[in-house]
Amino acid sequence: MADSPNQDFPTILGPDATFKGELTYEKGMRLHGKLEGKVNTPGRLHIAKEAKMQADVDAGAITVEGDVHGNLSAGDRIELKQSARYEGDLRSSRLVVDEGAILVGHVTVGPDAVKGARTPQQQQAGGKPAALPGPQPQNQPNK
Amino acid sequence: MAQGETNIPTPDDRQVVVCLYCNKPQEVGRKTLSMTCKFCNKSLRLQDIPLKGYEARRSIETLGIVTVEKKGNVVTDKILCGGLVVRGKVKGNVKSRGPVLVGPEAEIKGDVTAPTLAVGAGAILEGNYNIGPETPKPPQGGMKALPP
Repeated sequence: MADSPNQDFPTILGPDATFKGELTYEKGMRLHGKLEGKVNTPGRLHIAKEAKMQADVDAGAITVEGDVHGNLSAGDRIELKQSARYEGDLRSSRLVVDEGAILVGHVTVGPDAVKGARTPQQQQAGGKPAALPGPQPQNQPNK
Repeated sequence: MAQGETNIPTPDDRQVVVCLYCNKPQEVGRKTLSMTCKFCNKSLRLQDIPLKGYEARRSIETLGIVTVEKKGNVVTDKILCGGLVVRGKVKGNVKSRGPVLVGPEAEIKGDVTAPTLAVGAGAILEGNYNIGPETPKPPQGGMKALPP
């Protein structure tokens, strides 16, 4: 069932819940209620149809089905589903917009749009961004 | 009896087009390539425009579909069109009546207004986007509403 916590989305904010403040988590969250503030995660954020969010989000991947105001930044991808209503600035490597979605704001999409951002894959590998400044590990010989 | 809109279908050889400038619908032949709007007298193109190379133009205006091919590189102030397919590069503002399709590894730098947007993987977008059904703007600078 979609509503029961599973491996990909262990965190769920239910439809009768309202959260205000800064939220951090590791894997994934489904938002059904209201959220106001900031979200910071290397994982995924799924904003369900009935959800309302007014927040700045920095995540690995974001899926929007509900009502969102604020700036979204995703290292991997942002998906705006048919029922999505989004207003704000968007920054992502990849963007998927379904027919019927509403998008108003500044868009920056491309491989270089989000530098140093964490993707869900990198998070599994240790939570470090791919392009970190500084010396690279030299312990693997290049043959 | 109310004199509403009739539901008589347009004949097969006719089509209804909506003026790019005054937004008024009018009926024209299906084979029409260009016309003059009978309401605002502006010239309208109905052809599809394929762009296959470098094009620097002040504006590209058509009720048809503008296609920027893979080797196309369009630099313009504005594109007003019935639909847009980008496989190459576009630099300029886009206002489309129909869907805007951005192919994989295509590039649009500029503001985009369209009812729907489809983006391929690896596409590069930069600008202000207004995607969704057009909402009529409230009148500005007109008469103020009287207090109840």
